[in-house]
Amino acid sequence: METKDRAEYIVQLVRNNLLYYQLWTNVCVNAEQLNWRGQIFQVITGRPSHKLSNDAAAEGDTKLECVLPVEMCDYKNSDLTLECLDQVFTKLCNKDCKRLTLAIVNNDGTVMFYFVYKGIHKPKRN
Amino acid sequence: MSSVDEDSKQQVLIETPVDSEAEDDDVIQDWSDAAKLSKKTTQTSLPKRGEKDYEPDGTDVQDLLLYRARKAMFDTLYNAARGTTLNNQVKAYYVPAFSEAVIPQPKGNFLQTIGKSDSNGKCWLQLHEFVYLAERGTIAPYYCKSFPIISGTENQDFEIPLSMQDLYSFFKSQHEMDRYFVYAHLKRLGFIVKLTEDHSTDYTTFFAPSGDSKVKRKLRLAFRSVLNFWNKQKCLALNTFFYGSWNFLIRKFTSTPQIYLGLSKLIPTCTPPKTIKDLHRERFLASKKDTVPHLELVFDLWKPQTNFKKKSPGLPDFQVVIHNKNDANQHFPTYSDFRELFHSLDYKFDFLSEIDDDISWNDHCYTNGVLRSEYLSSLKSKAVQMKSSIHNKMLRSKRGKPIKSCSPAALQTKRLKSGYRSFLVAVMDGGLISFVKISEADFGSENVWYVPSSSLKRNKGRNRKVSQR
Amino acid sequence: MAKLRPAGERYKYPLPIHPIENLPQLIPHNPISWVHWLYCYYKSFNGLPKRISIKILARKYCHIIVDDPDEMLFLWENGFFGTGQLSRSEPTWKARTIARMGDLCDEVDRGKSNLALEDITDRRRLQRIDFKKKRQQFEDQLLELRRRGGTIEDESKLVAKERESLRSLKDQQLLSFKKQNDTQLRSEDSELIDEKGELVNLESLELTFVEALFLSFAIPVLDVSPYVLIERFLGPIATLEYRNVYPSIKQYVAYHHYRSHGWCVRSGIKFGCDYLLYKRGPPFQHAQFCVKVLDVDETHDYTWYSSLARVAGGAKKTLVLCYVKNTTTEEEILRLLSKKNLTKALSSYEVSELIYRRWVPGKNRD
Repeated sequence: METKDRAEYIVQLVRNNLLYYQLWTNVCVNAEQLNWRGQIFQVITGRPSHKLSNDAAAEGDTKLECVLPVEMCDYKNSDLTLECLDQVFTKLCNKDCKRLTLAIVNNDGTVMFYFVYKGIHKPKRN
Repeated sequence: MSSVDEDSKQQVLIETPVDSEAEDDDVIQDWSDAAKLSKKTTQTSLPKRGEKDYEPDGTDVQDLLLYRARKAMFDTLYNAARGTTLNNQVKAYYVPAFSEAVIPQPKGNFLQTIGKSDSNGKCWLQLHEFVYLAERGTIAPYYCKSFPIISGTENQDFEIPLSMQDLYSFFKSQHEMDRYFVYAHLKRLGFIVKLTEDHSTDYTTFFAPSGDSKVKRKLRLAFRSVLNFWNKQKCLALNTFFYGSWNFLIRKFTSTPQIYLGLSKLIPTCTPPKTIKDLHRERFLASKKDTVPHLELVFDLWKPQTNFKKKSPGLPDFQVVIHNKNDANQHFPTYSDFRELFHSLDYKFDFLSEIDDDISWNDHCYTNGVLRSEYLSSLKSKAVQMKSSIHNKMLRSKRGKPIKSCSPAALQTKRLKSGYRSFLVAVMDGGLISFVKISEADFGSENVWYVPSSSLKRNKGRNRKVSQR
Repeated sequence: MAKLRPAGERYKYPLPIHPIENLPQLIPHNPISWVHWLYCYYKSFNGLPKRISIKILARKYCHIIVDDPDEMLFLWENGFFGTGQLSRSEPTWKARTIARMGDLCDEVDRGKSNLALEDITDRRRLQRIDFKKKRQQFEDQLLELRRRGGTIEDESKLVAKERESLRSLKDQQLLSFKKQNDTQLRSEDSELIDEKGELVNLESLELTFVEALFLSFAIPVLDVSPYVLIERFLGPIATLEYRNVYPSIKQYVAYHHYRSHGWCVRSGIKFGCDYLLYKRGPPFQHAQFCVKVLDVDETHDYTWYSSLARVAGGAKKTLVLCYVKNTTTEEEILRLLSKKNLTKALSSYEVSELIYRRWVPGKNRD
């Protein structure tokens, strides 16, 4: 019960953040859930208001991004293992999803976003 | 040569100030012009390169540029004259019994900063000095089968030449190796380096020779602990009231600093010594160590200088400890380790010059138990002394703004950012050495709260004007 | 709106507890003025007329929330406490959203309004992406030239042109750093308007545990007892274990230490440290210090320290290692806590600081 409460709270927080702070569109909380060692993970998809990186230079338009809300404490406890992320990729994301955006909810009111790529990826150019 | 690949990536954009976020020291030298340099041009340093290519673009042109750059580097390295002129070569003999090496007929510039001479005019080198000079080609290393060597004779029996591999095998532990690498690295960069534990020369210390009175020390310590106890009780009483539920009901605070002063008594802080007096007092009260510390100061470091006196070097500019990151028996120092090290520091406490522009170091350190200024004049080396004091003065004027002209806020920021006593940690990671400077800081003695008085007054003034109209 | 007030006036008080300033003038030869003064002195009071109420959400990992718009603003303006959940720090979401949707203010007004920090950051980010795009175009041209077998001279000509053009783009971007007309309503935004046709306030202010403890234990601002906070975060006071309490105490001791010497202390999460120290506050200056709080016997691999220092150095901040030492025993701390003597428990900790800085030999030779 407790975990579920918490999961819902941070998913809602990240959804609002994407929709009304980052001004993403088509933001949608996916129904599928992953229960990983007692924790429930859920993915949010949405379209950013502008390009997030030059990764997909050729594609031009912004595309649907996959966002995974996690709580800072879980992140710090290293609960977010490679195995766990792999499960998220296979069970919660599209097949052709190459990149996951972690939305780390801290207890100071901020949400930090970090990219996680499937496999090796060319570093960002400064 | 693991860095060849990186180094030799030729630039396409020669200079793009628009987008350069690299720190100064990360910019890599451009070898393509190094060859010209060595042929006596007016330039004294290697030109800096621009940005690196982001990725291979698959063209021949890029490959060609890359090839040229790499070739320029190898040519420069390859064409430089190597080895030593036989006439200049000095022979040094390793004496296993002492783990030191001896030069029977010492000559050369290196003698200004390296080695110590004995009464027979021979020069003795510590192992790391010996290996360093051999590696540079300054001396020819030999093994000494029997000691003493008959000085001046060219007896073939005594001369077994040593290879670099041989020399490295003389190091008895990882620690000795690390010590050597740090030593050689700093020497190559121009620093003058001595072992901290080496007191064979005329020894200079910041601390006055004391009449070591145990009773006095004990009394002072006892007095201190009583004082501390008393202060603590006083603070506790104040705090108990301040954080009690009556505080803001009974007491009236008419300014923000009053509230801050109440708040700032809760957490006691550790105040590092900040003045000459503090430093002496701390040394006086420090108890003798009864445990072996985890880390010890290894090297004393002097900035490159021409008037260095090997016989009585004076206070070093920096002191160095070595930490090997990959040694399972070591850990990065904890605060307790750091504290031990701070207590044992004895160098030119540079933060004192931040407080007082005109500190004259020779009047604040002691060589062989006498004030260094007296020691120097007794050496009749007045000329040298004069030169060095002129040199110091020039340094001071070069440093720019004298302390007194800085604003109190700027001085405070400086104190907070650079701290007080400091030392260097040389971190060994494989062959890589990185340096960290650790300084004591004291945020507990500085208050930065905003006092709105001046702006308020201005506002009031403005209001008055308005009403007059 | 509050935005338009000059910062000096808006952030006049560094703490939510204000000093008593409205005492009447004391005239030495007029005893009536003494009486009046004494009366005013007696009547005045530093505390808040009404303490700020908080909500503690979730059960395991708590989030401390203030959702009254006035109280949110008050906490921000008087010492920069808390973070707007939909803003970078100051809760500006509502103002930004009104500006974006163009409902309540007309075009002219909006042209004049100050840009929120978030807007500026956004603009910079977009300009940077523009810049990179342009650079990429040039590099593609260069590649094309190389593939066609152009000479080195041709290349250097193109490179010179690129530099010129990129530089002028930068200049242009600096000039055009003004608000673009980007009123836009999205279908998603209908959710933001309630049945009365007004904008719902979606944003609350979130306080960290140490902020909340400071505002309840050190100064009486929040409508909650420090012990209730501790119980909610760490468990029943009677059964606390030291290893569970210590991490939070350590953080609070450091927070209180810096706050009490006048620093504006904010979370350092974006720089991988515990705290950032601002003089006065974020609107006035960049933070100059990154603080990492450690136990006196704590040690990590060198990489841990060097990563911290590199991030701090890259942002031109000084890294401070703040060591917190328990000068009494663990049992004594637990005993004091169970007797609700937080004051004595906290003052049993001593703080010492070190500055950690990368040292480059080449820069320290003369």
